[in-house]
Amino acid sequence: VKYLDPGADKTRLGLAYSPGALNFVATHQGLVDYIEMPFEQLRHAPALADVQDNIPIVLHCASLSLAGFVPPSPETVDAGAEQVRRTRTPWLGEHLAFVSADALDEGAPPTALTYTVCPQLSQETVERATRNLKTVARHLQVPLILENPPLYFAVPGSTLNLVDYIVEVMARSDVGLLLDLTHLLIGALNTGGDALRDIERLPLERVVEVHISGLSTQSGVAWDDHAVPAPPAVFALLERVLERVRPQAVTLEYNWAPHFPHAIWRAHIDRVRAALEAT
Amino acid sequence: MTARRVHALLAAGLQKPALIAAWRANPELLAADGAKFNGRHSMACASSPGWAQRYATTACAKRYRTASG
Repeated sequence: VKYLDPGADKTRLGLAYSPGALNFVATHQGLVDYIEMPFEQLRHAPALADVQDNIPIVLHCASLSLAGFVPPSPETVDAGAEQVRRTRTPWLGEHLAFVSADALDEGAPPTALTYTVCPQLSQETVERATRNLKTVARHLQVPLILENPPLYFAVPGSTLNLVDYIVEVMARSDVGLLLDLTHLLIGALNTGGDALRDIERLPLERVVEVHISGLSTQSGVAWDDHAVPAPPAVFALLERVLERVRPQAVTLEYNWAPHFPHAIWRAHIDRVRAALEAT
Repeated sequence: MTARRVHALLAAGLQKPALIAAWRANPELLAADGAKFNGRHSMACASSPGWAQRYATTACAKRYRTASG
């Protein structure tokens, strides 16, 4: 069984899990250092952990609702902790977002979404997220790192912009940052911001892992899209980050297309490695 | 309105896009649920039921589509 030992000497390069990604790994030995695996998939299909016979796993999560007001069930937290132990992931990435909320009708069970949603960007949710982080981190044997969410619309009642929100939460906690460059770009595109300037305001010294994926535009809104390659603007952001810091890992998230072209995976792995070597 | 209530409204609208259509057609319904239309910072930002469906498709895919590849 293989485990990732990130170390400080080298940035590891991984792929988000998909059957296609495993096929790429099998046919391109030595190019990829790890597979980033969703906790939710391991929970429902534990046999997927067998991929560790060939390549280490870095665990990712979308169930902890860290920026929400309805906490995850104790069973979910325990299951996450169990997968952390089982995979020996060096850290657990989770979104600064929520996946469940109160029902509109009093007394009804909470609304449970199957995807993460950007929270209201306010001091109220900064404080809530900070408390949630402390609570969840106590159950984990590895560091929790926070992923910046994409922003598709102005969340009602928000008083902070997304970057300030992330900065505030990071300032009140000791977690690392999982910097999703595409999410950052999407937020800038959808709010008229400048992602290159936003980068400078983030606590880059706390970046542990970087995510890279594609985006698509529909009706004037930029959307996260893991079925298409990252645009040049995302690589420009990566280069800007690498001028300042050296993350422990960079993950290419091209996991939505059933047959993502191997040539693009290969080209983007080479592009990331070239950026790492150039800085 | 508290952030907790905003999250509840967002989650309800995303889970049931017809709610967004109803709120847009009849803002009093949204007010009754504890919110008001207020230009950009409103549930109207979710400009159509289709928006919620796109959101769900995109975000849901991030979490689960990998299971089926």
